[in-house]
Amino acid sequence: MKGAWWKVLAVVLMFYVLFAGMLIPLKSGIQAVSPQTVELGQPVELAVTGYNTHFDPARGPRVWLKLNADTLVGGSAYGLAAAAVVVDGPQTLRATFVLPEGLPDDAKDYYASVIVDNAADGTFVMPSVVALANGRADSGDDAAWTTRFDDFTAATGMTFPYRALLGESIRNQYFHVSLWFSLMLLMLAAAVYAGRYLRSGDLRHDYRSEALTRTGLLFGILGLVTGMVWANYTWGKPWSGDIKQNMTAIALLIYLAYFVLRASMASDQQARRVGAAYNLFAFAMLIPLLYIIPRMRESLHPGAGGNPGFGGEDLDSTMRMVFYPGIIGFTLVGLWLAQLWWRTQALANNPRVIAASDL
Amino acid sequence: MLQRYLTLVRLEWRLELRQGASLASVGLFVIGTVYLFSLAFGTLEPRLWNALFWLVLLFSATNASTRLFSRELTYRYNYYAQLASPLEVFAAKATFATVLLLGVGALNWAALALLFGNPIRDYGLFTLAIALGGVGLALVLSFVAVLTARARGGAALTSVLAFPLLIPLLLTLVKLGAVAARLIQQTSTTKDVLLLGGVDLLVIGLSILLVPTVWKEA
Amino acid sequence: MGSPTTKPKNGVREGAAVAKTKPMSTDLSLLLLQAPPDFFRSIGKIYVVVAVIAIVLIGFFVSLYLVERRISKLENQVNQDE
Repeated sequence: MKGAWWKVLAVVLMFYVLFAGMLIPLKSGIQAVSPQTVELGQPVELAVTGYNTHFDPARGPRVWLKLNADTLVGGSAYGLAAAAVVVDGPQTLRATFVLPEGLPDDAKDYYASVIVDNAADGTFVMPSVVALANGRADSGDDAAWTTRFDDFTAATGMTFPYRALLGESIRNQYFHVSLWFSLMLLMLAAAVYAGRYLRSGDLRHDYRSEALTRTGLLFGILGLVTGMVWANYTWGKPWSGDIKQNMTAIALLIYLAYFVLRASMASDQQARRVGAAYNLFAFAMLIPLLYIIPRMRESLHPGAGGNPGFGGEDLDSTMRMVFYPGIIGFTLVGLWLAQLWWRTQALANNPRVIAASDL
Repeated sequence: MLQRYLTLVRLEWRLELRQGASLASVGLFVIGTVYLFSLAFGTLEPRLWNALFWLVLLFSATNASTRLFSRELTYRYNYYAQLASPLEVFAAKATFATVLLLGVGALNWAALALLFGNPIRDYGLFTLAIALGGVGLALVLSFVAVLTARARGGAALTSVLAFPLLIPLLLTLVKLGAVAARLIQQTSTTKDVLLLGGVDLLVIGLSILLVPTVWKEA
Repeated sequence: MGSPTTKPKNGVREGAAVAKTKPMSTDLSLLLLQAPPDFFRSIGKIYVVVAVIAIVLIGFFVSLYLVERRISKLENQVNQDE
């Protein structure tokens, strides 16, 4: 088992990612609010459906509507506390609001966010979910809307963020997104070995390079397919022609062409040299392909075109604690798979090229 | 070294003139394609104009580079090529392909403008895009042509290998063309031009590094 | 909005009509509430994660199978040589 420490690490990390990624619960959140359009100047009852919530009449959940406006002086903001809250179950409640007749003059739009706070789950928000209709202008209701938002309950325990659109599928961050990062690392390693092969002519480097590219291609295909499954249930269809999806498909084409090129060379010697040169070239062209161009255009993916970025609030510190080990774990598993392949290839071509120390 | 390189470029040029038909065929391809489109479409909206421009350039580039790297060589050319290093031969051919492509770009622009009108408003930007794009297309295709020169499958393989590599380049070019035609408002034009220049430099650097190792006359 | 015909009447606030259009995310969540969720959308779309993990595992197993096939071929060669 000498020199196998990183394989042990791979197994440990994969188990950690699987368990932590699947078992840590999501934060409480609001799944839905209805009705979504309310008339100003009338009492209204909002039905709130929570996710992972434990509404309990005894612990008095509190509900607010909050307007989109700049925060007022003294910690107040434009908003309205519910006049009465009826708890129907751990996941459902009804909140009654007595709405003023008009909106404050400096409200930014006609939408209100719903905020729920209870002792068991902490505080959570569904932003801009309720539209306020038929308000009277110049009603002088600024004072009626001024509310203090304070003594919120902080949620305790390890949790992942809740997003209404993603739900539990936010966990795919560890199983789909880390696949991508390890793909890049594997392709980088393949390009490095391609360069070393060109410099030294050492066959072992070529076997490594080819095997790493093969594994990278596998990761790319898996990333694309898992991405399509995820997209189907969040963006509505598996293939939306998103620029990052297209670019990835093209990256896969580039690496498929690598194998076509190798297969079509007359001699093994030529296949190796030409293949290695193309591999280096392809990796260099992959960098603008995967990272620069998607950022320059509209994308459904986070981190581009006004999307909420996974780098921001969506990837909180708890998620990082699973995400980064996930990248390392997947990369090590990829290396392991690649190593099995290149050892087999080397053995098939010339049993003597492997010295025990290379394993 | 520069001397040998210049001689080789001159020889390429002379070779091209001697096989006069091949130079004419490039021009004919451009004009023929554009004319075919004018027959088929009648008028072309600027978006299509732009796309057609870069497509014609792409296919002319593919044509030119595969031809340059697999054509019959004269005795004199072989003599010089053997004196020169692989990199010098590659540089000469790539330079020639670039110059050819810039000519194709000008001809293409003229032909499209003649038949469909000229939607380009920012002449400087479009010329810059043609220059940077021409260098990028010619170099990538030349490099791939070197790789596939000894492979079974030849020209078809060149397209399979090169087209995915060229897509980011082409998308950037189409975008710059659209900006030059005032089809879209873009603030990141400088970034795009820098990206193109960066890709060009990257390809030049990689060619210098990799061509000597893969260029082995069989 | 802004044209004379949509000027506020009887003090009705301008933009009340606009408020009828809802942001997209709420549309989707409303849809979730009304339609009975299918299998993959049940329990907060957890089965999407399960599907993704399953696909990754299938990929790894296919990869292992390919290595094994190669090794079997090698074994046959060695056996024939002996």
